[in-house]
Amino acid sequence: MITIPEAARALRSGAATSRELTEASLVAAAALDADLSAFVVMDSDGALAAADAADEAIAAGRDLGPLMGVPVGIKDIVDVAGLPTRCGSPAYPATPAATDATLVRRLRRGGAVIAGKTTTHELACGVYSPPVSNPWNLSRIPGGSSGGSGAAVAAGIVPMAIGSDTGGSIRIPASLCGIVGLKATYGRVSRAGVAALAWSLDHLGPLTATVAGSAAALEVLAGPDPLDPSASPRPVPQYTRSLDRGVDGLKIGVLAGAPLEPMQPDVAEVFASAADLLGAHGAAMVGVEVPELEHGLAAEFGIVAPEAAAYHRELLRRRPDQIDPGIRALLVAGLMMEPEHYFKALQARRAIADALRRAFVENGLDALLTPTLPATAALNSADDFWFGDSAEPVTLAYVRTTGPFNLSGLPALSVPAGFDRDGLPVGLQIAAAPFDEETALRVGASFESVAGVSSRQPPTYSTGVVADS
Amino acid sequence: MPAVSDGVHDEPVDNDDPVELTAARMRALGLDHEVFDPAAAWADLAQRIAQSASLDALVSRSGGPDPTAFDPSWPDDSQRPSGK
Repeated sequence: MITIPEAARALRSGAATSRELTEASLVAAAALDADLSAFVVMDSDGALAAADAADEAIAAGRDLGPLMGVPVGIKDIVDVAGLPTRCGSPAYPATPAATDATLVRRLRRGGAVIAGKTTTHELACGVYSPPVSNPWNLSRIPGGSSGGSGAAVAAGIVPMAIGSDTGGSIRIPASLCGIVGLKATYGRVSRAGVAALAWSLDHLGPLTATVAGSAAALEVLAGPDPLDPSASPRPVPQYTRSLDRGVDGLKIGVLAGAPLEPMQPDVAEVFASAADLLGAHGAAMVGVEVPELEHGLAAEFGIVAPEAAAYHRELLRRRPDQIDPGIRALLVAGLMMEPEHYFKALQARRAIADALRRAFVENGLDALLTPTLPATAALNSADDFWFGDSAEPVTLAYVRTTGPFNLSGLPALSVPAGFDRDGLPVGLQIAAAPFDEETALRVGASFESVAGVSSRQPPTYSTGVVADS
Repeated sequence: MPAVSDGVHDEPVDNDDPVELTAARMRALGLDHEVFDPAAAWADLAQRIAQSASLDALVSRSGGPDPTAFDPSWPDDSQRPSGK
């Protein structure tokens, strides 16, 4: 499969048609998904009809934008008219959604081709996304909760898939699957028509093979929405315009201390090399500590539990036997905890957001780097990571480095940074100031161009059609 | 040992037994399906409340930051990093 910029060039030059790209996606899904389980449903008829419409538009000289004619996957918590929204749960009905979510409407308006819906961890609440496998190693998890989206893009089935991110659910699969994941600023992408996990922490965004694809996708996805009161009215910049500006003159923080430790040694090595590489290409690198981030997990789950319980309370009362026991325990706790605990977690979020703002402002930072995750992809069967003599649940280990940017609402991008000794991908997380996705993408594109990591393909991969890239 | 009603069901509850109190609270909330395990719920709740208590180091018990108007943007553009 080709990337979004390659597809755009191929479609406009006549080297490929949207129908060819879409058929390649459908063939790749049929060939690979028995191993990956990345999709819960493919919409072949709808996708081919949309592809033909895109081809007609191209032939008529109309340009609907960077995703015109590009097949995409949609996480199965997002409403797509005519397809059910099952949220990875047997408790959700198979009745089709009546209308599109706002972001799906934006994609269709931009000429994108909805190829199918991708597997989510149940209720978007987890990092394993069973039964999805990681294309780099089928015995490893793809991450979650947008695990199907991560696997689908990493395996080359589609150039872009939508994910949601409440505590890392775009960036975790991006990191573990060796692709690019962007959680934009809270409010940058509408949440209307998307099943919630925690309203005040939920973000939507793209998983793509390249940073340029991520920037192009955000240009289509971002914008105000009267159906989502949290959607920002700020104008949407042209995110692709700054991608080739490099990092010379930027000041970039390198996070140390909480919440990064403990960390796998290979991840620490890749992270240090990534920071050195950006420094060598002209960025001023400065070490930064934000001790308040030590409390990120307590704040994150202190908000997720009551908000998720409020959203799913009827499901919890009527069909609790159809909810995974771990998620059920979270929902029960969320219903039973006193309001004091919720409001304390909200206050902690404010304190953490303020601490990150101070770190940016007082150090004059344009961006802040962390490893996306302290560990690479866990085995499907693993409950815990072992860091030396101490065990840490896989879920907590992953969320502790990503969650702070849900709490603060800051944009955060994960790009492939290297590999561990087992050949599993390691991600670099690049956070920026509110609504400054442009800088995060600029740093990510610069790193991508000099690191040479993104060109590696996993063992489970579809080459699809060949374009004149 | 004192016994109280949970306000919904008639059976008395031992209000010194946290598991019984948890069970009563769960019933009051409509969580009365057989899959619910009050003992496990109480243990889980205790763990989460302890986790919440760890936030006291960050947020004072009374007062503290106003959490109700969360907005990810910073107060004004002068606080944005240089060159932006």
